[in-house]
Amino acid sequence: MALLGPDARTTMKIKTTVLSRDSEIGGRVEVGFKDGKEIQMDTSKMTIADIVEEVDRHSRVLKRVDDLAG
Amino acid sequence: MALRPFQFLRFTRTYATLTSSTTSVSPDAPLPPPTLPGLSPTQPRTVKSPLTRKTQLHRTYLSLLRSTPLMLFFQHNNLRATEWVALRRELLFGLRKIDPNSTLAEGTRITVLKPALFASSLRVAEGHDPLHKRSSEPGGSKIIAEKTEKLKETHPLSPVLTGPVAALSFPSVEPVHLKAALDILFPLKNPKKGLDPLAISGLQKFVLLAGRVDGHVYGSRSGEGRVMDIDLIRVLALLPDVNTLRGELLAMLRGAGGADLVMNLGNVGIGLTRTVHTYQKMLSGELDSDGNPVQTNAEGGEEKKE
Repeated sequence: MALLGPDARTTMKIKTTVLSRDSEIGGRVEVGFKDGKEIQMDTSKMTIADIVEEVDRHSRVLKRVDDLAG
Repeated sequence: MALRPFQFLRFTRTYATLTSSTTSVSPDAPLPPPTLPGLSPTQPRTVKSPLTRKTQLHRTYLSLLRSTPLMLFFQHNNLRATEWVALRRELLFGLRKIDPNSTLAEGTRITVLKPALFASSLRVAEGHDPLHKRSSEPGGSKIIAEKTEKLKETHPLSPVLTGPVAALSFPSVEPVHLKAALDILFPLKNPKKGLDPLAISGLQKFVLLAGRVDGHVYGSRSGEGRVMDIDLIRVLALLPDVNTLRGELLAMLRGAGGADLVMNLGNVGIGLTRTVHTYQKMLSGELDSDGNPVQTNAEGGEEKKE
C-alpha cells in the first residue's frame, strides 16, 4: 500500500479490507489489468518484492504493447 | 430522593477520576537527581543521552501511552501535507460540533508514529511497571529490555506496528466522540457529506488497523492495555456514554433489591466529600479549627450542595 503514489487513487480503483484477527485466509492480493487479465496471489508466504515482481511481469508486456502502438 | 442517585453518581465520578489521575501522573517515589550534569532537574533519569531524538521520542510515546485511555492505530499511505491539514481540521470541527464547550476536541490528536520506536515504548509501558517493581539501575534500560523481550512476539499489537502507522488518541473514552471521529476518518461506505475534497482524498488512504484501551479505564492497572480489532471499536462507538450506563446499572440494582448496597457504596464517597469540604472551608477561612462549629457548618454546606 505504501508503495502506491499519492495520486494512485485517481488513476485506479483500490479496495482494501482488513481481515479480522481470527480469519482463516492469510491475505490475498487481486490485480485486474486494463486488458482484462486478472491475477490472484496468496500473500501469506510472499514478500512485497515477490508481489511487485509478479505484477510487473504482466504490466511490462502491456507497456510494450502500448509503446509499439505508438 | 429522586435526585439522590445522580448526586451519588457525580461524587463517585469525581472520586474515580481523581484516583486515576493521581496513579497515572504522580511519579513513583522521589528519585535522585539526573546523572548527567548540566541538565535540568526535571529531566527524568536515563541511561541513554536525553539529548538524542530517539530518547525524546521514546518519552513522548511513553507519556502518550500512559495518558491516553483510548488510541486507534491506522495506516496512512502517502498522504500529502494539505490532505493531513484538511483531515485534522475536519476532525477538530466535527468533534467541536458535538460539544462546543468541552476541550475534548482539542485533546483528540493524530500522531504519526515511528513504529519500531513506538513498539519499544509500548513494551516498556506494558511490560515494565515502575510502580510495582523497580530495577536497581537508573532507568535500567537493559533490564527492561530483557524483561520485555518476550512481548516482541506475543504482543497483539506487534503485527500492526509495521509500515506507516499513525495513532488517533482520545483524552477520554466517550463513545459519542469516538463515533464522530470514526464517521469522519474511517467511514464504512461513503465519506461524510460536506467534507473538504482534500480530506476525502486523504481518508481514502487510511486503513484502520486496531485500537488500544488503557488499563485504568476498565479497572486494571494503568499501562496495561487491551487491544481491540475493528469490529470491537465499532461496537464501542455504539455504546451509550458512561453516565447512562451507570444510571442503568443503578436502576437495575434498585429493581433487584440492592438499594442497601447502593446506599453503602455511596456513603464512602459522601463521607470523603464532607471531610474535604470541611477542610477546604477551614483553609479558606470561613471556619476556624474548632470542633463544634466545624461539625455543624460542614453539615450545612453538604446540604446546600445537595
